[in-house]
Amino acid sequence: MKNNNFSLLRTGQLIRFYWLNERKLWLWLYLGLTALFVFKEPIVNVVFHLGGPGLDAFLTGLFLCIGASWLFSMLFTKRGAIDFLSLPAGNAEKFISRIVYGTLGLVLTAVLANLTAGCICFLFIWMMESLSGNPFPADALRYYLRPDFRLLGGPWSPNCGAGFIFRSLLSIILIWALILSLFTWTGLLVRRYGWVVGVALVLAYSLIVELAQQIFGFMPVQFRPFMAATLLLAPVFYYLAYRAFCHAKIANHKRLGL
Amino acid sequence: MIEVKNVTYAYSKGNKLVFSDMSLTLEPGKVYGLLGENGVGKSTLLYLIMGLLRPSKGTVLVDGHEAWKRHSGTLAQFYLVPEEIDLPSMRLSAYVASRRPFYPKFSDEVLSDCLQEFQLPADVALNSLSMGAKKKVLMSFGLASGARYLLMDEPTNGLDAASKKQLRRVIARYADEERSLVISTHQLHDVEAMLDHILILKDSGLQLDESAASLTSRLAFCSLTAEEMEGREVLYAERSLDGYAALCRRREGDEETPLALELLFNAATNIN
Repeated sequence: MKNNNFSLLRTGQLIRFYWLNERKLWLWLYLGLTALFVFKEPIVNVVFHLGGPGLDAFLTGLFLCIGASWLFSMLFTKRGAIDFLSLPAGNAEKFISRIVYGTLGLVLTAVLANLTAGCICFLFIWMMESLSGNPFPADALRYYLRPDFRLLGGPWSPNCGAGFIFRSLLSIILIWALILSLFTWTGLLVRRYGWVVGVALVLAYSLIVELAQQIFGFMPVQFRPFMAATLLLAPVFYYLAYRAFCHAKIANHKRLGL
Repeated sequence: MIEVKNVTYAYSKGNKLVFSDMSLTLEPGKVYGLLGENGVGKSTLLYLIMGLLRPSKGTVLVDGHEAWKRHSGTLAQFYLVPEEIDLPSMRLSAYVASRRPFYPKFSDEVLSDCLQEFQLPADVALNSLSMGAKKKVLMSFGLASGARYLLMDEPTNGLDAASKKQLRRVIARYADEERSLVISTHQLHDVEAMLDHILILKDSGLQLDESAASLTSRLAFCSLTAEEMEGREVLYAERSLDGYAALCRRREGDEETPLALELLFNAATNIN
């Protein structure tokens, strides 16, 4: 009996399995994010006079914490854990497929939601300008449909050359790797010890971003040592999360048995 | 072959032991009945066998491989029909399509036959099914998966009399030399005729681990009057409508009596 061979085919089959079982969740996530992006600025910035990198960092952290906690949501109930853990695939295949699926899925969903929100905001402006008899709002078109991935990595430069886009995408992926690996590990701890841990971590992350802005005068995405730390620390955090996953077992109570 | 070797298990530190230094062997080609009172650890044993729980001490080996490590090849040998079922909100065809790639020996023919036997449509919305129908779907998938060890936790819960009869027919048709079935239940009458081997759990261990053939060759399950009991070596007796239902040592020359599982279970759980 072949027993412990890592199979890319089986990993791909797992990703397909997750997608077939969780399509509706992604739809709700996409709709929720779109609504958040559409209404964030007018409601939060105008009504509450909040804004700036701290708010974006808090929302990013919250989104990532929820996303990372969700990565292993099938382990949070006894029935879900039985179904997932008994699926004939190795621990490494299940873990890696879940990380790849979750990472790509969360990034794509956030990007699509951002673009959709941009379209909605632009259409609203266009409608308002048309009703006022004003010309086509070309500036608004450029503003709302610019490749602005603020919630993924930081403010975007108006100079959108191909090389800049590549470097920025790489930065986003590396930051995702660090943050997601950190929150994957802490997400499992959140389910073990409660949501207080998660909220505390997200607040701590927001504070770090604010302090970095104040002290260093630039966002962490542009800070090369931060990117180096990502490359070093992400594997460690992912390994810790993998070890926790290998020890996962079904439990009679709601929290994950670690 | 599944070997449970000196397994000790408690759900958490400080809790009562579910199993203490328990050992048993499950061989291919048999239908095992896993019996015991509520809360004795029947489901826990199934989870330990599949590697869903890790023993505090001892090991569970599946064809020589540790179950706890949950290797893909080991898991493909098993299919578990749990007691509580939660199927995703999708059609049966999509459910099968998402899961069958993980079972290399999956058979569409067997699935189709089982669904027909259970009088279920070939494609149906899973969230529209009753609990009993969902169980039948899972049992059909389990038999079609080609898994060598089919573990069923309370399979007859939620099934009506006709469905139980269908289940017995399906199991009789697909139980073969290559496949083992482990049926954990406290609905003794539902499974009595199917079982080759009886396992009774009690007090953190096995009270009985014996084949049905061996039991009926050395024990007699009788209905006796008070006077008749005096002439027999009665191991256990309980009042019945006709007098006493008695478990006796079988006398040489006497014909074998059919296995009375409820009487055997009551005897095993009341005798130390």
